[in-house]
Amino acid sequence: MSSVPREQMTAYLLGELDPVNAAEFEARLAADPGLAAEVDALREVVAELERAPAEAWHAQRTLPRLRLPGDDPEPARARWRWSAPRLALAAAGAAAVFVIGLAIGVGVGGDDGGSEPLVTSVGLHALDGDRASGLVSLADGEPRTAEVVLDGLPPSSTGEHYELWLLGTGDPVSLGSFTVGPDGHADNVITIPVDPGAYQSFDVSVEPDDGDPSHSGDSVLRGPSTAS
Amino acid sequence: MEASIEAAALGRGRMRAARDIDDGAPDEGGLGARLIAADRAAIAELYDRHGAAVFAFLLKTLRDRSSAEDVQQQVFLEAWQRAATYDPARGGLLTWLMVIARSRAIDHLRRRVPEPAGSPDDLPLSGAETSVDEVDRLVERYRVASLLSGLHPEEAKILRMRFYDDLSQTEIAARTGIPLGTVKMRMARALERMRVRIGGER
Repeated sequence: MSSVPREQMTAYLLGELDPVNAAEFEARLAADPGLAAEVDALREVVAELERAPAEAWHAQRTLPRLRLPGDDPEPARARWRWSAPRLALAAAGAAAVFVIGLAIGVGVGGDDGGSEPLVTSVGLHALDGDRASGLVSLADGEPRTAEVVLDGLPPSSTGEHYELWLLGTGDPVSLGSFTVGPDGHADNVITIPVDPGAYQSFDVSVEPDDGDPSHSGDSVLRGPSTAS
Repeated sequence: MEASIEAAALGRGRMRAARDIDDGAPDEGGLGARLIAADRAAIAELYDRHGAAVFAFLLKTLRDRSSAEDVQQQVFLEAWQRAATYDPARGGLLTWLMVIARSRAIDHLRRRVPEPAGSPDDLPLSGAETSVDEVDRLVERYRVASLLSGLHPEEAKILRMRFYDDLSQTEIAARTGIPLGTVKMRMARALERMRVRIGGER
């Protein structure tokens, strides 16, 4: 069998070779039964992955904890914690505000006797047909704040956390990370260091605890960045 | 009736043992033996290895996360309680779990669907006559979840972005900030690992 880089085989099977290179690769396949057999084996894997139901891709992330007789009782609801954004924008002063026991629906304008800020709300919807949902209530003023309420999220798995983002045409902007307890609920008031109107969407993703500050691509909730 | 279904499914499993389609991990037999010996750590390992495949099937079938979580617990509790009856010569661990999961899912749906509107024909899972083929199909359809569980998280992420999110390798690189060459290398490595695991069972 002739030597062909694995990456080239993969690109061919994924339909990512340009026509010229694809034709050249197919000529090699026709002349090399060993290579053809190897590509056929990988083709079966690709086909199986393409057929896999959506649930197979998400089950690991949403897997409930196994409980057997004699196990310790389910721990009490874990409070979620909001961590400051990990991107450089964090340095712009995006200090996250901890709110312990914040009730849903509490206003975000504070109680300083001044005029109430204008609040607009946008809904977040599950991307995989799941039951999760969210609401981001944006308040005018400086600093710009928002109350974020999320429900129905799968409890955070070991080694993973959730992260809230603003997505647009440029780099995603992290607004903070958090974990979710067994009740699937999370709420917090955060400071938003940029104008949401300059972006397209709020986005909640699942991120591995690997120190990589980039978006994982594994989004679970999304909604428009403005109410308009 | 369910016992006969299980016997038939596992009997079929014996005939095709050489191509059984669990995750192909080299210690599959060892894990089965530890289960039979009532090693409590083995059930946790079984859950880590195949819990996602069973849960994916239950989510798809029951279409309700709360129900799926309840039945998932039932399945693995039953597996733990009946571990001594597991016979590796009659089929792989995922096949065994899927037989249990299918039975418990049918039980759940029968309780949930009110009579007379809900006849067995209305259930997403058909009756006993086709159960052997169904178990085969279930294992083949959902084993991806088990296989993904055994991959390095970065490789599993790349596969998910390509095959679930339908992104090209170039788009994955742009989305994640990972160099394109690294994306291609991880994709090739992940597919090869999947091929070895699947192919090793045939």
